[in-house]
Amino acid sequence: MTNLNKSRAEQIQSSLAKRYRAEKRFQMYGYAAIAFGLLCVVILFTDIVSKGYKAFGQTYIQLEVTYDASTLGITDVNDSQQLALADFHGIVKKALKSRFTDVSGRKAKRDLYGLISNGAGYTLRDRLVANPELLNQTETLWLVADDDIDTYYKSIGSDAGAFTGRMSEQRQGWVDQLVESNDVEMRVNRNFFTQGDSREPELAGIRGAAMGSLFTLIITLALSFPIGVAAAVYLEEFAPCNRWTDLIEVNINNLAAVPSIIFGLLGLAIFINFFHVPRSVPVVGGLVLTLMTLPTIIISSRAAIKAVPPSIREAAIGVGASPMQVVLHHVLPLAMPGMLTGAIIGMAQALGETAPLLMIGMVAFIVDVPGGFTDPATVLPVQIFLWADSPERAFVEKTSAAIMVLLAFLILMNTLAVILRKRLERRWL
Amino acid sequence: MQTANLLIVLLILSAVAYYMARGRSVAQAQPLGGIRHLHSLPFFYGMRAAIWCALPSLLLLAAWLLFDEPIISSLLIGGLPENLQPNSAAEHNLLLNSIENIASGALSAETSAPALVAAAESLRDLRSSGTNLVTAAVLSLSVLGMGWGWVKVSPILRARQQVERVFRGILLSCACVAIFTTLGILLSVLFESFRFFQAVPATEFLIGTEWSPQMAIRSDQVGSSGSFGAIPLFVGTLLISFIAMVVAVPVGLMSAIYLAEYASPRLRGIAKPTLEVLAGIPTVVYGFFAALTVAPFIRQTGEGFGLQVSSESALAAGLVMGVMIIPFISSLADDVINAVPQSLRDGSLGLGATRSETIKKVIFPAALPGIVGGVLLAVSRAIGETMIVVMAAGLAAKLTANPLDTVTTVTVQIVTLLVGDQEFDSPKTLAAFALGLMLFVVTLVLNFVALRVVKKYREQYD
Amino acid sequence: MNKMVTDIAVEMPTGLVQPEQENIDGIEYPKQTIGTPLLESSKMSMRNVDVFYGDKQAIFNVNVDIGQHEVIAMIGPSGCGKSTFIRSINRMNDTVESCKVTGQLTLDGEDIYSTKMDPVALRARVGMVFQKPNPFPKSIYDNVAYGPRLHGLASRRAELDEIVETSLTRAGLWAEVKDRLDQPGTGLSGGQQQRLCIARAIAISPEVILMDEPCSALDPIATAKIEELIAELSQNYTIAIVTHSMQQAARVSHRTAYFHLGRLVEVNETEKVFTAPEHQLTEAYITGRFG
Ligand SMILES: Nc1ncnc2c1ncn2[C@@H]1O[C@H](COP(=O)(O)OP(=O)(O)OP(=O)(O)O)[C@@H](O)[C@H]1O
Ligand SMILES: [Mg+2]
Repeated sequence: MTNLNKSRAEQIQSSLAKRYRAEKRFQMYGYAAIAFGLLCVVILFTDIVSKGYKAFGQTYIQLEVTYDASTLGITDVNDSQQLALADFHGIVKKALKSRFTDVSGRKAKRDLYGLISNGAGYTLRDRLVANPELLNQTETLWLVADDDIDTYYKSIGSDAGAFTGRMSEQRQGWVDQLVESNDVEMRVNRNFFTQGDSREPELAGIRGAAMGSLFTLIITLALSFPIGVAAAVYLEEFAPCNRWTDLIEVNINNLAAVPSIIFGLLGLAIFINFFHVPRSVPVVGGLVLTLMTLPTIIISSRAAIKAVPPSIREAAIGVGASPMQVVLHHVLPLAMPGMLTGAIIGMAQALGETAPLLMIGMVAFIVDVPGGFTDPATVLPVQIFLWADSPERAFVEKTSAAIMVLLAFLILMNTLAVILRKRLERRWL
Repeated sequence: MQTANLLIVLLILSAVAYYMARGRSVAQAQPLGGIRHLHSLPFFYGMRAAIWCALPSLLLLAAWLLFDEPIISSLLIGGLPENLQPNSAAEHNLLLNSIENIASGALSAETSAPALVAAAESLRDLRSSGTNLVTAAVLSLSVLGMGWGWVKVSPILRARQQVERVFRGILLSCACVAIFTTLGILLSVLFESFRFFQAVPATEFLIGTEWSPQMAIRSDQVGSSGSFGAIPLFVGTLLISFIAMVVAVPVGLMSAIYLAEYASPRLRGIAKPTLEVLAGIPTVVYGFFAALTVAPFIRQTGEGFGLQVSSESALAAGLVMGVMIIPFISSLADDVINAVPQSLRDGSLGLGATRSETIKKVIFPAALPGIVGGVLLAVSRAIGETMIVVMAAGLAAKLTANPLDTVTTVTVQIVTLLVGDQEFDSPKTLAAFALGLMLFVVTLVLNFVALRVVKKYREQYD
Repeated sequence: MNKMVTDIAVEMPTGLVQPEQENIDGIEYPKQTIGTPLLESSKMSMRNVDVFYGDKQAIFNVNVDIGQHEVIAMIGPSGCGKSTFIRSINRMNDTVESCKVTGQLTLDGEDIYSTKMDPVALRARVGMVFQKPNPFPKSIYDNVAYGPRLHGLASRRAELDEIVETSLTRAGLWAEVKDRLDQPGTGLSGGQQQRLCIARAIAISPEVILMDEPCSALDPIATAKIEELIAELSQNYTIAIVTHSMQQAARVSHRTAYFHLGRLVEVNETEKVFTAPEHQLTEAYITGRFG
């Protein structure tokens, strides 16, 4: 027996080294998998931040501008009709010409006038409207530079060298001259947060898309939360055990995994083509996203209701409460934090959703910031999609910055959900 | 009256109804000796009246809001003279559009057919009178309901039962929204697909290998009908999903195993939420990342090896999609692995197995059904994923299995066919619905099977 | 039968004098384990064993020997640390992160917790059977062959077949399952499952078998079968069994150890423990005053 044990032990010992190597290898795979996942997160975030952080700055050029009435073609500053037609870009051109006097030739002039953004005209108009006494006066002003200049200026001194894609030698020379005389400056990009979309990258902002997202989400929340909670209450507290209930359950679970684009098709066919609701409006977007997030909200609300101890229901029924009173007085208040957590997560999902909104036409180019639920609008992720498709290089930076804003909102919402969940846990323990 | 205002008025009316009925019930209880002689609490009498006041009128209002456009337009078209009656749905829409434009003044009335101008007139009339009519109807209905609620108050009225029945009914109809959503999806894609298959035979769609839905401008041009063989799309979809799975399954599974079985609580506390961040990133962000960072990188690397790499390679889209799906697989696998009872681990370790042997020979086989279910769900996700492929995969429908080449997918085609201006009757747009039908059916079957497998598995260890 | 060390005065005071007591939380414990915990020659010996879960101590200074081919029963009220102690004998507690074991534990004179001792090899020598039958979701054959395959104990299929057959035969299960070896082990009845787990444990010919309440999930008939099996196995194996049933301890074991709140109060020949317990805590437990 002892001999047998000895030989067994030796046998076992002999293969042990090999088995431990396999163990090490296996652990290495696991470690590598985790490392890969974490690396992806890091790369993704660094890539986006490094591409986008510069969009929060904007290049400005200092010029001496004369509000020359004849160039503007106006006589009365208080006449809005005249102001609307006035050639404000003309005085910018003049200012540039007087700054770089030696420029000749049509192409060179066009290049020169392109140093300053088209949007500078609006700045000047606003100033003149606010200060009518400026007419025929001269002042030194910081004006928004064109996106080519912006891109070039931001890339000066970077590792990859300055980006001269659309910058002729001559234009680079002008910019260098301006830099020399301290007439170029980096400032906070206010347009990005206050404006709607634009074809000009330096004028494009996310305000419009953000408002669109807000209106869409309000509709989504207002519809999906009550409906979702009601459905969850029904399924958990009232539903009889029958085929119909089973069907609803299976249906909800399956719907939660249906691709989002299918909901877009539904919205297109039903809301747009059948009910003739206008395209591109937050109401329709909200309706589609409601249908999409409803399963998520129902599932998490049910989980929250399930977590309410049955003893509480029994106690309430025991003192003669009706089923409705049990639900309204006891189950709902206790399950509310869990339901809210689910709702926030559903809203975060809705905020990031793009595909179904493309289907219902929220992909139009919309300059105006929407002011209500029925104004044409787009949403943040669609704005990102649109900008990502734009050829101008400056839009890459804008896209990344918009992504950063979107991610910031998502992180905020998820943090909120985590905090809620933490509080909830504490309450039950 | 504006819908919002009408809603507010309804709310006020219901509040009035509530207090009146409630007060009446209390008053009736007085001579009997207090409210315990009532059948229900005064609250329920009030609620009952409020429900009578609000519910029927709200239903009427909702019906009007849903169907006003179709009703008005059918009235309008019906009122047109014989020669102007539309022959097709397209003409119908065109006609409605021009009437609409005349009514709003965008189209001048002088240059338009007099019948249309008249129709525009009646459109304006119908709109305003319709709104007035409905407002009046809604308001009178609610006042009637209020009165009914008030009159019927009596100590023997079973108000609580009635209110609770309505309450349950409302809850049930909310639960049924999911059913109606599914029905709506099914009907809308089926209906449009049916129209598509009238123009293009189903066999061509399902087994054809040529996909070029762009209709020619002139009908005598070659290939004027477009070709709708969807096989290249299916192959492209499968190729990209396959690449995604090749990335996501091993990484997701191994990281779940490592986190569940090996990692220290500290590492788990950091790595798990970080990986979950990947799940919360919107797909449009992944699309941007794939198109602007990963695709150029792969192209450069490939060219470094002398390979021909398309700038919209299937590989780039697939890789990034795989990264997106990692947390999906790992959290599902985590659930499944944790559901394997500790006693099995103990049994194996007690026999002198190492941890990896326990995992490979006991836990993994025991968890396999659950893992398979999770992977199926992930596949359905990959197939239905839209934004990554729209932004990073191509439009050219190539029948290839080369991951470095460009392919297109079902979802990409749905988006390209439906985004932008389109008339709703060409096979081109209808094709998108046929593709949607395929997508819906395939993902539904996958989900159904996967959810059943996972559920079975859970029950096994409960 | 092993000779007990009744006359080694260095470790343990002998005689009928009441040993020194110490009072902890209002309970009188003997300062040193009463009876005959130590043996002249032993298969395993435990000295000054303390076990902690994090800050919480679950086992306090336990000294006990287990003799070759002996069956020792461990009894005591729930939560007194029987499982904890038995699991530290084959280092199953390594899998519990917060658990820490101190003291001297040896198997054939080799230190179990030394860095040279490999837990995997150790567990092959000290097998374990658990409270709830835990067959793997595999076929009956694969369940029994699991250990031998892991450790490479059979080089040919025929050898493996033989191991499976002898193990199942010894576990008294062969006749019942020989026609359905390829069916899942989870499909057997509870008692059969537990015997399958015993077969699985003896398939790698361990020197010691630890059993943690092996019959608590079984009906009386299945229990009787397992008890028979233990008696038979004790001819070839050393067995430590945790049980809540005093009758069971009386039926199968040679010596019985009584634990109380993490302390080993008394170890004596089984008969003695159940007829004339030396310590009042043991007596109280035996007579059913708590447990
Ligand atoms: N993993 C663990 N972590 C922390 N404390 C534990 C752990 N396992 C057991 N304990 C504690 O150690 C003490 C002894 O537990 P043990 O399971 O050994 O008791 P037992 O005698 O086997 O009881 P039973 O007869 O109920 O099986 C108990 O107080 C228990 O709470
Ligand atoms: Mg125990």
